[in-house]
Amino acid sequence: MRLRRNQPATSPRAASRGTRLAVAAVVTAALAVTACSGSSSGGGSVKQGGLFRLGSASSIDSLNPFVAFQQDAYSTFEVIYPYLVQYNSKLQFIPDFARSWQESADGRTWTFHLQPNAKWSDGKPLTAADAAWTFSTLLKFQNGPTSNTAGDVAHMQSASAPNATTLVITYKQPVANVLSQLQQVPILPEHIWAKYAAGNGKALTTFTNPAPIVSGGPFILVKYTPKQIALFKRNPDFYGPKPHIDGLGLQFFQTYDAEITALKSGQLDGIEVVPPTSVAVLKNAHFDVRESPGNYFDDFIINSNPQQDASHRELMNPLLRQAFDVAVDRAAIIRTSLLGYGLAGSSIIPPATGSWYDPALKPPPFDLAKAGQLLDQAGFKMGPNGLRIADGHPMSYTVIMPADTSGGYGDRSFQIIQADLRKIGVQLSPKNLDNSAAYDAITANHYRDFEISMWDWQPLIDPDFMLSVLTCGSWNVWNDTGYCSKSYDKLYQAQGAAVSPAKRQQLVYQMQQMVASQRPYLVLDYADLIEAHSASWTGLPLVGGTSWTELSKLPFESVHLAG
Amino acid sequence: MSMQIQEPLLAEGPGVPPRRGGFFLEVLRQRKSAVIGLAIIAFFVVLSVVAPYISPYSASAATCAVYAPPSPQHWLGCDDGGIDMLSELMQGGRISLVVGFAATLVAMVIGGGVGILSGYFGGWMDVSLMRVTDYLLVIPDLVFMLVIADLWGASLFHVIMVIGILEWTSTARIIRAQVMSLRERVYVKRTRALGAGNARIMWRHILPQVGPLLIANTVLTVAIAIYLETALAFLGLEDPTVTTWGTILEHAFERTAISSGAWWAIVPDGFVIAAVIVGCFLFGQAVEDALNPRLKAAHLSLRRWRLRPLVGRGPDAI
Amino acid sequence: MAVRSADYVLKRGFFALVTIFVAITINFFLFRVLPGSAVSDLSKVPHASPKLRHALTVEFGLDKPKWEQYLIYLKNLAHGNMGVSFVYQQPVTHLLFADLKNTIPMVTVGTVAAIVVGVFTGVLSAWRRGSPPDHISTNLAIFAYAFPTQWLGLMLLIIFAGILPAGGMSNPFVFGTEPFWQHLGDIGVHMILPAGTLMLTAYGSYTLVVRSAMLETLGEDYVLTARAKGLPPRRIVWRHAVRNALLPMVTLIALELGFIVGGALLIEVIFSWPGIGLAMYQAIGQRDYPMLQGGFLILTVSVIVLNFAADLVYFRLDPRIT
Repeated sequence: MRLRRNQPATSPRAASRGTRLAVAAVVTAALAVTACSGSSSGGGSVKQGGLFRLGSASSIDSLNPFVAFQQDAYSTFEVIYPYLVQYNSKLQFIPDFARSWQESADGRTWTFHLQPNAKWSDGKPLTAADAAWTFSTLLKFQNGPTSNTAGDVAHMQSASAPNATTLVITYKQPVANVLSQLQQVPILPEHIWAKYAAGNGKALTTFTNPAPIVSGGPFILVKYTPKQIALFKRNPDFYGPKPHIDGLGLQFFQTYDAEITALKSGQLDGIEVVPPTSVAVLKNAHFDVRESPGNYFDDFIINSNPQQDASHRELMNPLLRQAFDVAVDRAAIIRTSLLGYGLAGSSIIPPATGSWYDPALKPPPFDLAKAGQLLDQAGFKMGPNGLRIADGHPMSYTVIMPADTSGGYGDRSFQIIQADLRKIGVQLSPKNLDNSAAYDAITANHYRDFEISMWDWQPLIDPDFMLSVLTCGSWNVWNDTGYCSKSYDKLYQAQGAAVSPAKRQQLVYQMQQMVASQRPYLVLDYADLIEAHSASWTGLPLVGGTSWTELSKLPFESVHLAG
Repeated sequence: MSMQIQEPLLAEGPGVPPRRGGFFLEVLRQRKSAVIGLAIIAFFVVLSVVAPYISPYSASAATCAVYAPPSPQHWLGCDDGGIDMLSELMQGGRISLVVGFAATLVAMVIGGGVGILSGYFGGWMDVSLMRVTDYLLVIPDLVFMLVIADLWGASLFHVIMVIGILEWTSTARIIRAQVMSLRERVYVKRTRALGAGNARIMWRHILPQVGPLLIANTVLTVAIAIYLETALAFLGLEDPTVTTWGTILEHAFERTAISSGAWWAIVPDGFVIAAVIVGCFLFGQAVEDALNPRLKAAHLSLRRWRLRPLVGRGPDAI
Repeated sequence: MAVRSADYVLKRGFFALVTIFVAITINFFLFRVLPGSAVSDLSKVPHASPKLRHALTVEFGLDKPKWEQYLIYLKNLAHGNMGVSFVYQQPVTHLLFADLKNTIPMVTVGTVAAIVVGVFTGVLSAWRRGSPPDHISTNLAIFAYAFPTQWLGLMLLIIFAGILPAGGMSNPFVFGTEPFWQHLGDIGVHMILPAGTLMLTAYGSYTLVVRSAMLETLGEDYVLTARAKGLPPRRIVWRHAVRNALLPMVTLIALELGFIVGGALLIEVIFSWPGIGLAMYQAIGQRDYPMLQGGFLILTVSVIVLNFAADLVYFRLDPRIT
């Protein structure tokens, strides 16, 4: 399951007083957090030392931030590099390298006040110049070597460092989700990377950035063997709260089975993602297992292109979509595929994003009889061989199943839906393709050919990206539905131009309701994120459901051996 | 199970083509291993045919708890989807056997054809066909299949084709050797002297003679095909929505069967696969032994035959 | 005789080279018939202009006519350049040879163990022909052979989980470098299960072939003659029969190289052994075509070369070959 990482910034937005107040509040909160998490001098009764051994069933594909796509790589960058801001457990923005920040009245200039006297792990000074260089380089090559991170600096005009602790970023137009974008950019040491940015910058993507890496975060990556191990040591020069542990190790496994066996036998201290089948086993073995709502959903995609091929254009019928929606037994899916670890799906903005989720949207109750009635109402009568007839042909559809879906529990979910729809006269047949072939099949012939698909999304906390997926402009980029609506696009622009956070939230709610009623996606479920660690460790908060995350440095700053 | 050296059961009277049906009965009568092998194969074939009617539960719907251990209601417990293991094994066998037989059919048609043509005509056809065979023999089969299955996509049809396209080579060589020796037999020469065309000779005289060998080889190839199907399924190169003996193992591996302690999702599956393969091996082995004991050392490699001039010299060097 | 031996070596050597060339060509054709092009994945960046996507197409050379691509491919191969991994953005040659370095020890240990166990049990069976140990040994061999390799691996995991390492090549949580012998011991412990699986899956055929070859020899005239001369039985067995079983053994090992490679692949996947088999398996899921193409070529060429080596050994053992 790939994290959909890049997303465009929002469109123009006027300045807001609210932001400045929010900044002040956040700074206060940040100070409070710093005080509570134990000071850098090994405060009080918190045990110091130890090596925390973490298991991963994924991998780091590259240590080069311009190349990497895998989750583990991003989480690695988070603990070794300074970022301007980070999230806390409540998914609020708190300081990281930037201690405070202001937005100009016209919303186009952001000023960040950075930690003074900071150092890289090789002793060189860590200043605003590094930050300015990083952003400028991302900007300079955004059509080439740094195109992976182009979304993070969309609409950015310049980044400069008037002095060692001040960073000024200017935008061509006011951008609403600046912090969300900047939270994803690791600040790189200029004195290491500058030589690769020479000329056309091609060397930026071929530099492997091997361990030991000159780091500025709470940890230094000292050893990395691909597919085997990544070892981190505490960084004594870190500008923020020093970790209690001496080091962190991330071991890679081919399967969850191997990971869990290693955890049970004491080879590991924690696992970042636990499959539902193993929860009981681990709880019985007295591990600390935590489930939290995941910022993730599984979806059932119905071709929403009004120009789609006539042989299946009945899929545009809203009664058909509503019928399909109430024919999905979400409870059975959660029971079978997720073993109960999940919530029934409703909106494309998951509840785990906090206040961005519209609580008024509820999953439709499962009602096959009603589904049949709706199809009758639409004029799709039952045919001779148990299949309904729509526009002269039987209601039989091909469901594109990408490897992401069929490789996991997706085929179980599909079987449930397939069996239920068959009872009311609709036939589904799966077509398994790998991910890129699946996307090609969906977009083929301008989204005219495909009928149905099943996939998933792991959006960001900020809803902008997920909402952008359904815009006309995202055709052949991220759009996997063929949906394109002028009124939707207008709302999308508007939420980016919202005057106040309350107004923006209202618009985001409106968009969610629009999607829920037009149903390009049927949102099946929000799978829980399950994390497990040995009870001999404590103080490991979850941010966005996991402790090993690209959202925050807090978890591994505060973890320590239990007293 | 002894490996006695016995006289070839193929009658070699001058000018008289031997009777076919009696040959297999002879083998069964003389070798216990053949009977055991055939019995095993027959058991699984019959089981597969009646499986949908006698399997206790559905092989696709959940009827018990995830990884439920064996119990009086579910003799072999359940898998990660709450599906009864025993039912899955019974019905999974159908598709595994179908894939095995279908792939073998493809391999036999190609291999038998190439072998007969090559052995009968000799000359440039023989040389070129055998060259192609040689190249294909050396390429590691699972790796090759992995690549092709990945490029074509994971479906049962592709699995069948991929196995069939790579497994014909050994059959071709064995058949070719046999045909080459048959070609010189008196009755063939006589038939040709009487004016029969090549096709007629190949069809009516050669093919029936290599029949037993082809059948023995077919059975052995089925074993290989089933083995390869499980390997391809394990690597995720088969349609995951279909239940075969191979995908059962793949699911167990991917879905934490071992750390959940669910040995029943793994152990029985291996035994049924091994049973079928052993059955094929015993029967095919016995028939080949009976045909020509000198083939022994080479064909004992169940997975690959590349026949060097190990035994015999001259035209029937194999 | 000398002319003939050179002749044989040259002929087999030439055959090996031609087969390598055929494998290279098959390799090229397979991968240029790409269905879901990997380009669509790589270029799926937001705001990706057609220009950027074109740049990526050019970079991976997918826009030239096929025959030109083939020549470029051959030229690159001659320089040891097998392209750049789509996923890691690093040269394929470098990555795969690093992986191969991990695979070779494990496969060697497993195969040698299989040969040793196979010869031992084969001799034992032949010597005690017809007795219960013979039956047990032979039937065990057949079953071990018939069980799917991946099943044997999973069984070993079930049995030894918690006692032996469940995966990986060495204990990873070691800062700095271990002393050499300790590191070697660490790898050794991690190698027990993977190599053990390979041994179990491969030894059966060796047992059968050694047993049958020995039985054949034990019935032959010169053995009877030796017995008549009064030499003790054991020496007869070891000097004549075993040596004569070596030829079919070598044949068998050469024949089964493809199977060993396939088995090693499955084993690396099960035990997360960071070798070339695991690399190919991961390349499947990630659609990393250069890695797949390179892995296929390296493995095929290895098998061809090892086959040639077997030809030479075979020739050495039996100079009667023309």
